[in-house]
Amino acid sequence: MDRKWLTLAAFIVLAGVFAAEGETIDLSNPSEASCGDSGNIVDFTCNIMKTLLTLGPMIAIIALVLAGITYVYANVFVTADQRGRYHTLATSLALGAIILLALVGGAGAISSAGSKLLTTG
Amino acid sequence: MGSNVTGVLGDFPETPGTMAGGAAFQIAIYVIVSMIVLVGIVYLLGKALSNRKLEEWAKNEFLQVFISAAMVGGLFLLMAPGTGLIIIAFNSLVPTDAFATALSGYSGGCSGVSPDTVICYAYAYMGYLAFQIMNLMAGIFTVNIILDILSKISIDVIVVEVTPLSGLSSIVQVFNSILQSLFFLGIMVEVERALLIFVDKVALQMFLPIGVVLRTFFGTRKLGGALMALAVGIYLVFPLTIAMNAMAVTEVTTQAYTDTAASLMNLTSITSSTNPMAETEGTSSGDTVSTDQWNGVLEKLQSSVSSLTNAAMAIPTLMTTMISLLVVQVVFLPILSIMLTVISIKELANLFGSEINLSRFEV
Repeated sequence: MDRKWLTLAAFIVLAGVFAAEGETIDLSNPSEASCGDSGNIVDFTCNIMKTLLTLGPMIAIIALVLAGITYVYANVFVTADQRGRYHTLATSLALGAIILLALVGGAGAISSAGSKLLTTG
Repeated sequence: MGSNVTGVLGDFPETPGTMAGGAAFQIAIYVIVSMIVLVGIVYLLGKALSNRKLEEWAKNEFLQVFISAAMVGGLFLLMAPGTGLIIIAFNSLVPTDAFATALSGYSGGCSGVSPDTVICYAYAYMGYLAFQIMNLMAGIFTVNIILDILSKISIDVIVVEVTPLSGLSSIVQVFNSILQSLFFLGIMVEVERALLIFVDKVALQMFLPIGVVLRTFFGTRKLGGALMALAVGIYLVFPLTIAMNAMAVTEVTTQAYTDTAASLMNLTSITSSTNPMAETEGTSSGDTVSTDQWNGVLEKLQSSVSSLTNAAMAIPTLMTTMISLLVVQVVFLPILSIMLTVISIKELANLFGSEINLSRFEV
């Protein structure tokens, strides 16, 4: 199987595992968000945002873990001439995860700042 | 993050039955936050899968989401009704002179639209035009009825029936045409007033918030930008150009209107005193009218017809001037306003990341 699809499959599996654990990984603390349960479009959108704010850090952590595993795997099990590819993958994963975490943090900040601005006038 | 809407959001009132106002802005914030996280996830996937297309899409989308976030924040600060900086500056353009005060007395002033706004001024101005048109119609209608009755008066002299004022029927026909023109202009004015009410009720309360929401989704970005441009254009440019029309031409029109109204009053007083049979008052039906009485009737008739004809002849000239000015104010200038509004919407659409193709309005 192609390396890209293998990575994607690993993402999906690990995301499922973490999702089953509930909101244990919660960097932006979206559990504080109370979206209401009236079922209107506002609450629906709010719930999507809440889910993504929960899912984002989760995926980032998974990516970081995968990056670490890949790096260790490359160093231990892969020959020196093939190691570069795995190191590149690990670096890309780690970089992407860090950027995702930064974006989630920024989005959380935008959300709370925006809400404060709009509700206080 | 609940759906309670207060503060600045409260300034964008909800329209019953629609997703608009504060709720829509709240949704816009949720969508922006969601899109940022989604962009991050896609970027991570692009990195992991070494997919340049995904990475580029994420980068471009992040830029667009950032612009949308800036727009949402900016719109709260600039376009909130009553508190927005642009709205305050825009409404300060409303003149506070005697004419503006006088306008508020016509057709209920600003009842039906937001008070102390440019829309209010434009609406009151249109009300003033409607008032003028309706007054002219009422005056002409009165005169026309009297002239029509006079033109059909016949005198039965033994075996000959004379209709001495039948020539007035040609004036009646002219007045009928004038009435039709005024009726058309009256409809146009009411259409423009209805349009101003629509702009007042819908632009900031519905089009703008929905445009902001749509602007934040990558699939509906252009539609959102177009809706935002439409909202800003029709709320700011259209009423402002109407108000400018009011300031530019009202002085001339007011004078013409005064002259026409005075002539109509004059004509009405002449026609109401034109009763050639007044000389025969006191004569019972069946009595013989003397020769002196008939001479009196004819003299009175000649005098009345002479003054009536002179007064009636002045009316078409005044009415032509008046209707010409009204056509300029009610038809020509609003068309110009609509063209300017459409052009501004087109330019604003480019600014908001959309494009509206209006080949006939290219500048």
